[in-house]
Amino acid sequence: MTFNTKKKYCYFKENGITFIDYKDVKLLRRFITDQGKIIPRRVTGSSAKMHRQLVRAIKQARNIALMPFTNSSSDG
Amino acid sequence: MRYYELLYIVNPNIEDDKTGTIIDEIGKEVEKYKVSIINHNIWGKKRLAYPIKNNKYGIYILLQFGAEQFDFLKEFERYLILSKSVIRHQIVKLDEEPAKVENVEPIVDEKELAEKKSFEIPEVEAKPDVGTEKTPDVAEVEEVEEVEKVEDIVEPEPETEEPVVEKESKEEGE
Repeated sequence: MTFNTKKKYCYFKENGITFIDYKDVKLLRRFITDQGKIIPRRVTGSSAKMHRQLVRAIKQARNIALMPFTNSSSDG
Repeated sequence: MRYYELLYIVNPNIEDDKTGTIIDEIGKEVEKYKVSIINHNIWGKKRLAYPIKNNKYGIYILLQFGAEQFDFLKEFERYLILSKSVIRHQIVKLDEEPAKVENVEPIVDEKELAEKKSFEIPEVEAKPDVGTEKTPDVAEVEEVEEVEKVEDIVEPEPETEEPVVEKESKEEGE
C-alpha cells in the first residue's frame, strides 16, 4: 500500500488539555466546519476520550447560543 | 459539596439599571436553597449564534455555586424558565471547585474577546498592587502626624529626648 498518510495527533494531548470547557469558544471553533458541523475524529485525529468531551462541550455551547447549530447563508 | 455553573442570557432590551436588579433577584433565589455563591459575573452583551425569541443579542451572566443538597435544581430551573427576563439558561455540574474570579471586564464583542484575554492577566495582577500601595501611604502619613504630636508633648522633658528619636526611626522603618 502506498498511501502516504500523514500521522495525525490529538490536539488536546499535544497541548496538555485534559478538560474542555464549553465556554472556550475560541478552542471549539477549530473543531467545527464552516457550516457549524462537528468535524469527525478521523479527520482531526483527536483521541476517543477527548473527542467525547469535545462533542459534549460543543453541544453545550450550542444550547446557550455561544456556537451555531447551522451556519447556512440564509441566516445572514 | 457539589459545584454547579449556571450560564444564563438576559433579554438585552431591558434597561441597564435593571440587569443589576435581575442579578440580585436570581442571587437571592439561589440563596434560598442554602447555596454558597462563588462567582456571579456579567460577561456583557454578546451577539447570539442564532436568534432566541427574536433577539439577536443577549447579556450573558455566569453564576457558579456550591450546594450540599441538590434536589432544589428542578425548582430553581422552573423559576428561571418562568422569569420573563431570562431568555435562555443552562446549568452544568462542575468536577472541581471553581476559582474565585473578581473584576471581570464585560466583553462586548467576540472579536475583542481574543484580544482582551491576553491583556486580562497583567491587568488583574496590577490592580491589587495599586490598591495595596495606596492605603499604606495614607496610613503612614497619619502615623507620622501622630508621632509629631507625641514629640510636642514629650519635649518639655530633656532627659527622654534620645529614646524618642530612636522610637521615631523604628516607626518610620515599619
